[in-house]
Amino acid sequence: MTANKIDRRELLHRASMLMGGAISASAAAGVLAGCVATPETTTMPEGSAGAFLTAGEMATVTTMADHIIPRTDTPGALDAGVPAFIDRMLAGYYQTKERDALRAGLKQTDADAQTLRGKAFATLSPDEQVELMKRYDREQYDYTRANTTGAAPHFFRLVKELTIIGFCSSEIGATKLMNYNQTPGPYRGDVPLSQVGKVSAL
Amino acid sequence: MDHHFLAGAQADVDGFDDRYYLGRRPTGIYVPRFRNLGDTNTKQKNFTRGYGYQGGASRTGWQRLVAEMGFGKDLKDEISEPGNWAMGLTGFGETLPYRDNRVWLNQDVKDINGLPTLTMDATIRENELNMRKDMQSAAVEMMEAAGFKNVRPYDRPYAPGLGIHEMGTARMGRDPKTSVLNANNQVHACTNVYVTDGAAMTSAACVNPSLTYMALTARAADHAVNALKRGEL
Repeated sequence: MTANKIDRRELLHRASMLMGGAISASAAAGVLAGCVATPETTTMPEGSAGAFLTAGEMATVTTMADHIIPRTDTPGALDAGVPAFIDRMLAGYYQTKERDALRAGLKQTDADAQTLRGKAFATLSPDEQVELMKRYDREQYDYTRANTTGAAPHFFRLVKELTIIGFCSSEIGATKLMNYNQTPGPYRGDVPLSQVGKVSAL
Repeated sequence: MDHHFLAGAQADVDGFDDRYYLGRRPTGIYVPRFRNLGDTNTKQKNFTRGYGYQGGASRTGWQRLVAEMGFGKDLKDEISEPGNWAMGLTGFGETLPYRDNRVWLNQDVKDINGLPTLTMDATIRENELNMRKDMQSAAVEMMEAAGFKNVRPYDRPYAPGLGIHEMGTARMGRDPKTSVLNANNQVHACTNVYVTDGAAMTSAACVNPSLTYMALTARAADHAVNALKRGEL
């Protein structure tokens, strides 16, 4: 290719590809800047607004994050402080077009919930919430594949990406669901997976 | 000059599902230059000089889940499982030492202290662009011959400096009219100034330059110590 003018964001996008492909430049920017989810942030009083999200939006995002990575016999997204992480990432590292898409999507979510049951998304039953989210998930999957022009992403892609990244880069995610290998440390190039059991944390 | 890179191929590898690794791999694989080695077999029609490959194989991690459909307990279970094996090869090629790739003091644009700023004007040209095509097709050929799946060439936008192997701009030579440094890395016009990074190199070659920087630096430091002892500096 010809030598293009490359800005910091493009560089971060390259870094994100090295980190495994699907992660957006904004997400890579935040993580590389040290933005992480911590359990302390879950002590944020319920119903409060974040740095970017309003109290109502925060309630929707929290509910969605809980469904995306639920608490099972191991901790989930809420235990890791993912909602506050999402708010900080949006406020500090995401682009205006991404923030606008997310805000519009959350608004549409509540509108869809109103049509369905006459109430806000966060107050639907868990099954109703999951049903709506499955619809958004299919939408974002198709939309993302078709979006080759760099148009604003689907809001649910953003919520999902941020939830997965927030959880997997947190101490809880890295130690409870994955094997955390301290650096520096030894390297073993070939071990039976059965001996290790789990994936290594990034 | 810099090494132009970010062109090569990636592939998925079937099998080895029961094998894994632990810890941080300190190195990758390296394929030394195999084009234009001076014989007819390796001579290329549309580019001179060559490139080496750097790369590695690993299992994909949770990042793959961002692009997939699904959420909830199933997604959570997948976080703990390594994904398929994948391998990448990235060419690191020589950028020819073009006279037009330059760095100079810009007297028209001053910084806040009134000092001239540095202007850099460099790009890759036809030889490098042709080489990048070969970086992709040769990597594809190797990976397909190895039986890998979903082999896909890639060529991402590159600009000089991204490889962080900057070299040249104060090249070494015998003639002060056409070079900046003498054979000991001293500035021709001012012999008590030594320049010991990659600036001395007249060509970037295609290999990683840090060890050469260090060797040049050790050699120049030795020269400076002895010259000082003799009272020449």
